[in-house]
Amino acid sequence: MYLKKIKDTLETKKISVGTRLEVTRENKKIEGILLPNADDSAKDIITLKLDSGYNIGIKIRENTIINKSKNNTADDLISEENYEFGKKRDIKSLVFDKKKPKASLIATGGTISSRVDYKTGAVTMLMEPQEILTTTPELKDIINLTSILSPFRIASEDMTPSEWQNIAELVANELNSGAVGVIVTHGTDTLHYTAAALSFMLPGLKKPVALVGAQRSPDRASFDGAMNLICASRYITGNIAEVAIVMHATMNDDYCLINRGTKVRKMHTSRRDAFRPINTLPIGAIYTCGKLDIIDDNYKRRDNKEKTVADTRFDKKIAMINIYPGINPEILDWHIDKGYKGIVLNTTALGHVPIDTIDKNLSWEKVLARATDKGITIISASQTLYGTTHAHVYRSAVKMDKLGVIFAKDMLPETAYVKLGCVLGRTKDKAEIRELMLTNLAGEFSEKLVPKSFLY
Amino acid sequence: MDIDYKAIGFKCGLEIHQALDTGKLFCSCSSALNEKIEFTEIKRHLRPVAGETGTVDASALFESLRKRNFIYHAYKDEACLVDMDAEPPHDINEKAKKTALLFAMLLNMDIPDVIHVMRKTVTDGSATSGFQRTALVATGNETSYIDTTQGKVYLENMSLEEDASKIMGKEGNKTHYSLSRLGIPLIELGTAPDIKDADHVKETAAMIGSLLRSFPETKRGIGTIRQDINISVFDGARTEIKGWQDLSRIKLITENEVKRHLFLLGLKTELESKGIKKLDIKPVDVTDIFVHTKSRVISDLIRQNAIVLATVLPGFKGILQREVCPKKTFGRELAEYAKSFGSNGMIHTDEDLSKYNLAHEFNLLKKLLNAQPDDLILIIAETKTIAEQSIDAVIMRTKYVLKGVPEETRIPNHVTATSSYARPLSGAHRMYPETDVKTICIAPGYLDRIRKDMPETLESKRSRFEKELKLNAELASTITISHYLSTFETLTKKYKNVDAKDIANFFINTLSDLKKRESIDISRLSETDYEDMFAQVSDGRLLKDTISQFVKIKIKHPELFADEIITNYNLAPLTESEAKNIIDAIIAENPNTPIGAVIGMSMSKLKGRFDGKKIAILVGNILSRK
Repeated sequence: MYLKKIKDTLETKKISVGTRLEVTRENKKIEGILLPNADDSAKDIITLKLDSGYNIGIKIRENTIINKSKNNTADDLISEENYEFGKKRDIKSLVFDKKKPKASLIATGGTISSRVDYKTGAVTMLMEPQEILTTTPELKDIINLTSILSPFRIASEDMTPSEWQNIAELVANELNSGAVGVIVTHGTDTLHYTAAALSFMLPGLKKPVALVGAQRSPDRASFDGAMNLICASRYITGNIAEVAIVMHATMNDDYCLINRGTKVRKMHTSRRDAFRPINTLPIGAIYTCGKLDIIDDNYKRRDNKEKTVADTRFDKKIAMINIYPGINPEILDWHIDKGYKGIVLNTTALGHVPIDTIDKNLSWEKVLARATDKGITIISASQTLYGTTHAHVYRSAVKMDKLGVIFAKDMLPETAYVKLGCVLGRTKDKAEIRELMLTNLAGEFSEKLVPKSFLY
Repeated sequence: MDIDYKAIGFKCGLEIHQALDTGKLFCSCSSALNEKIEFTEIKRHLRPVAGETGTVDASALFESLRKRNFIYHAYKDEACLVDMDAEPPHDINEKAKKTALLFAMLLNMDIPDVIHVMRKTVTDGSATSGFQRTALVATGNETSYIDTTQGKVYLENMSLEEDASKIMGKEGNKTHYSLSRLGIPLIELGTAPDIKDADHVKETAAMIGSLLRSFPETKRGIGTIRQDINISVFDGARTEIKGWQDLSRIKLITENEVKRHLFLLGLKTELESKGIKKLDIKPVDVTDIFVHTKSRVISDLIRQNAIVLATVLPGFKGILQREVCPKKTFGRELAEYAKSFGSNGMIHTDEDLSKYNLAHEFNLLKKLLNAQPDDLILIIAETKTIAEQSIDAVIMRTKYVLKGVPEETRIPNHVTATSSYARPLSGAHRMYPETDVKTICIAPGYLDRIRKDMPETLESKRSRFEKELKLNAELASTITISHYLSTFETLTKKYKNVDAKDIANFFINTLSDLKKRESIDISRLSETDYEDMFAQVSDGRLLKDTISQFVKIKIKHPELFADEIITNYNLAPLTESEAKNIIDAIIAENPNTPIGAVIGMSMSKLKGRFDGKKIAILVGNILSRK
């Protein structure tokens, strides 16, 4: 927002964003196109795009005069096409090949489906599904993307279980309508939660589902999502019928890893190869050319005859609590009082919470007893991430076990959280809950941990 | 050929790029450029990106057409995830920002109230992100100019930007880059097209360079200051030679580029006068003719799946042999367009075809393509896509002959002082805001606060050295541009009783003599060593005549302090009585020797340790007493 005086001047002179201005101050004239203000707090600053392409901010003072420029050809700096090599690329000419395998894409938002407004720098979501082809035209050589759905466009930190349910239903629909597989584009922050959710919500899956994100936006020449999308489209035409995150394997633009949806986690805030398998090996490595190296052949095979059924029942009254030294048990009391049905504790190492504290007020023994007495499911999943939990090595764990805490073995805390919601959505029976939580429903447990699975 | 710059409507402006040694602009990496210990390499591709209106920028698209692999080499302390496009940029380097703003103030330029960091699309691989970060930090006004012998050259704009990665080499479709230079701050200063001729280019570049180097934050050494030269003649198209590094030969590259423009304009006129209004040129696949060729070059290529494309350039016979400027034919110039699409070049009838063993095939081509006697035939043999794109580029360029000089960015060859086609000139819409970096508001009072740190210009230093320190004009200017400048200033301030001339002479003459004549590695001496040494000079314990000797010992024994060297190696000046004793001994050993000879012998024995003028008097006194 501008100061009233500036706003009035702009309005009187019919100046709006995109108008070419002439700003005069102390005999110096500056011409440029008016942009929206980059910083909302600076009310006396206007931002101009100069002909050189640079933006600058100009403080409007007493002696500053703003006028429409006489050379008011709004976009004259854009129209230049001064050499024959610079041919326009026509979005409409990019169409899919009907002979390629039919596939679907569900775009949910995130960096991968954002675009930059080159003038203002504002990042917005891609509006037209075909726009995916402007960023990654190679897709048309691999799949025939007949259906591009965009149920919502949100950043992945804004995802909730309701969106997981929505996506799961859509995926099942698409697969049952003849798609060989589905690509879900998604923000990366919570991509692994959604991957776990789809893994549990599509229990009899017999076709591939790839989740793809990007760490660098499509406006950059270094857009990493393109390779991820190409590899994902290769993946969904293949034989592996799993929900998987398909993204960069290394810092290089060379190949992607196929990581099982329940055993993968974002392990770096900004690197392309942020998604790593935890406590398992990747299912495989896949290249843009379609080359596939299977690393762990323990996966479900495609069966196109099978229908996909989405079971999206989910109890949303669940929570996840990170355990740390000094954590007050009243945190759990609060959850009990609020009527939570299940809690995942991100416990330390082998699965511990503070039990034999010197200050008895900080022991979790009583509060755990209170929770399980109330029928609340308590899961211990290790915040250490690598390795498994164990209920018998140390005293505190033994006590927790006796109190009815379920140890999540080598399951990731995030996966445990998603699974808990699904399980509680399916049954209220205590014994059944325990049994389901400890049954390998979607590859969330590794039968054995091999050395190479650490820091893969 | 002497060029009448006025008559040809010569227009020229410079962009000077000066690297700063403040650490990188948007991360904490060093700007030292040592490139000593490589710790990793990463392989990347870049993609064409849509520009502002959904079109792809001309140069961006062009680069992407070449399927290139980029390999980035990372060296210890000089690259981090930011340089690898794997982490967002940090806040702007304050020291670099301050240096740029001070420089803008020195040149009376206007600094915007808010500075925006922009992304400038660069898809030649030199930036891992596909863009270069740059910010306009100042614009010119009627008082921002430098005063040259040929009048005022106005300064138009100054930006602070990231340097690009330096190319290490190319092999096939792979390009190797070092990440060490990527992100080092550059001050880019653009002049108005006020430059009058090639000499004036040199003078302008030198003056701006000297002003820049008044700032201790500027990097020194080869490649740390680079000039982009923008040239047009007769109000024609502008070309930009990017990254010239050799100030002493900037005149030559300017002249050569002007000659190239004039050649191209001449060629246009020549074709027009022949009545050629349109060039109808098409490629033809002539692989069949070469299937059984005796030419090794072509048969090898065909075995590797190459096709041969040919085309006829009507009326071009002989033209490809002509020089566009010294050391460069038009044929080579055309071939560069083919090469930029990955081809190894082309073969044409203006060359000696017998060296390729292709005379027979070209005769067949002449008939097949119905070429006239003054036509030129050229062929390109490559794999299909490369061959097609390369010959299209050559044809497009040939057609442009009728239009004159194409607007281009060109890369210089520092050996021949010529330039080669790099890419089309890129447009303004390659820039959009870098939203990962906060806009920089210049707070009220900030500029006044930093003004106190404005460095003295080199010119003012030079005249001060003459006036205050009594250096002669030559010594004053030499020490001013030498990289010992700051050491010299520290020492003259600290040791006021030492003659500044002696200090300057030491750095300018003594050291270079030791390096040149005795191959002594003077780079092993640090500023502390010099301070330690001149402290002894200041105390009268070291005379200037023994300094060379001192330095040689210090290089051999870096562990010794100055006073230890003087004591251990008897370098301290002698007292009068010590000198007398030595002279007495000489006289005693050489009885009945004439006084002149005694003075000579005493001089050589006491050299450097006792004032020479006093020796003759002492000898006279002693002998007269006997």
